[in-house]
Amino acid sequence: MEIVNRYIYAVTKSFSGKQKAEIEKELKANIDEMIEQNQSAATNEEKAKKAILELGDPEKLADNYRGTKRYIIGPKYYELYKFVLKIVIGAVIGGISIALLVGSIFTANQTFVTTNYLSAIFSGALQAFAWTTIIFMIVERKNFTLEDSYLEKNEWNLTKLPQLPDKKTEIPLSEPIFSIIITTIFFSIFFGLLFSAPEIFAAYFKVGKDLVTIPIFNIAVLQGYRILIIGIFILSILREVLKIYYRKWTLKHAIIHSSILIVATIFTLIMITDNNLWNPNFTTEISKYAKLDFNILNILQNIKNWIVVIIVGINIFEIVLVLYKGIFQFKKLK
Amino acid sequence: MENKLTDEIYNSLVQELRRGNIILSVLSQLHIPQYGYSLVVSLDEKGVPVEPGTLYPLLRRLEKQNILESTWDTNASKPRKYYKLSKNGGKVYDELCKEWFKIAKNMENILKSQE
Repeated sequence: MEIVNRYIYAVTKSFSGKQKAEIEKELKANIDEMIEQNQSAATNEEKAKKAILELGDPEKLADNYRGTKRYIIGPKYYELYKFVLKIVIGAVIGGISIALLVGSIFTANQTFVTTNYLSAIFSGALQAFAWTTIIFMIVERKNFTLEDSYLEKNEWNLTKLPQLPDKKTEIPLSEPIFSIIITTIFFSIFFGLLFSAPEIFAAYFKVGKDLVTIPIFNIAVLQGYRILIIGIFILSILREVLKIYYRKWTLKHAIIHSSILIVATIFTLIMITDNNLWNPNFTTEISKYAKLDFNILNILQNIKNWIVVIIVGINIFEIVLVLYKGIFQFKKLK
Repeated sequence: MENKLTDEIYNSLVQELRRGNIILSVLSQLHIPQYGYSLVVSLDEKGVPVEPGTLYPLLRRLEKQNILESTWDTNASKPRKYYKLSKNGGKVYDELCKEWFKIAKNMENILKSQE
């Protein structure tokens, strides 16, 4: 009967594999039984409907089978989620406003900038909302499995009480909040400019009375890296959210933080070391306007190498620092 | 409106009170094998109604916890999944019964002393 199949589908659609098959089979047998045992004069269709109504809301029945409720963002993270969402959306709106303001100074087409302001704000806020929600969804799912295995394997006891935070390992709340705001503003400005006024990423020269600009990047290639850039942004926000969650450096937090940092660094290096990213004519054009008596090509190659060294250096320093704090905390627990 | 609200609260309190006894009631019926629907009927007849939407998932959970064991009977015209107490479940049931009688006695004392 179609209605029975639809009901069984509604209950079991969020399950998979063997569990799904078992619940389907059992539920079908139970409903058939309920129809058969109904001695009234009603048609089979009506009996089926009555049985289904007796079983009730398929979502609730599925929750009962699962034994737990499922959330996109559960009560454990909801307050934190609202908090971060406000900061991120605020920062995005602020960032886009600044980006378009700066962009309007450099572009001739003023109306383009102003008419696009509202739609940029709207899509920016929407993106901020979506990405923040996705990050929290991941945290929610991840924690769900962590907690389940935790409950099964470990009995709570007195030694599990967390240490009072130590000045050395404590993370003041202001640090991640400040980072989220700065990171979001920076990325919003960067992203806003990348798509509204990409010609701004250039070297500026005064030749006589004219201002000459030479693009630093190959804009099409840079725009093509948007997924990677968004990825780096999400990873930075994720690191800060974890800081708000843990509020101190534990060994586990330090390891997760370092892993995220390594992935973000690899993303950054993939972009920077891509030779197509840089404007191939930059050196020839620059030598046209600036009379330089040294080899500009060599200098630029050196600058690129130095950028890589500095990025890797800063990140290694941060990883060593947080791991040190994490290990310090870990030793103290012993 | 206000009456309706207190009714709602009262009903949810009664439900809460009953919920704790569902498992013990179900286990008490499973010394002999029963399938889902027959259990719904027999509990209802004995004045302990349990909704099928609560009972079917509960049986599955208790099976996973090794308290019940099940067999599919495919000989009848319709396949039926029969549940009964496992060996371990029988022990658990006996212990729970003792606990329940203790609670019932203490509850009776505590409620009567207030009269």
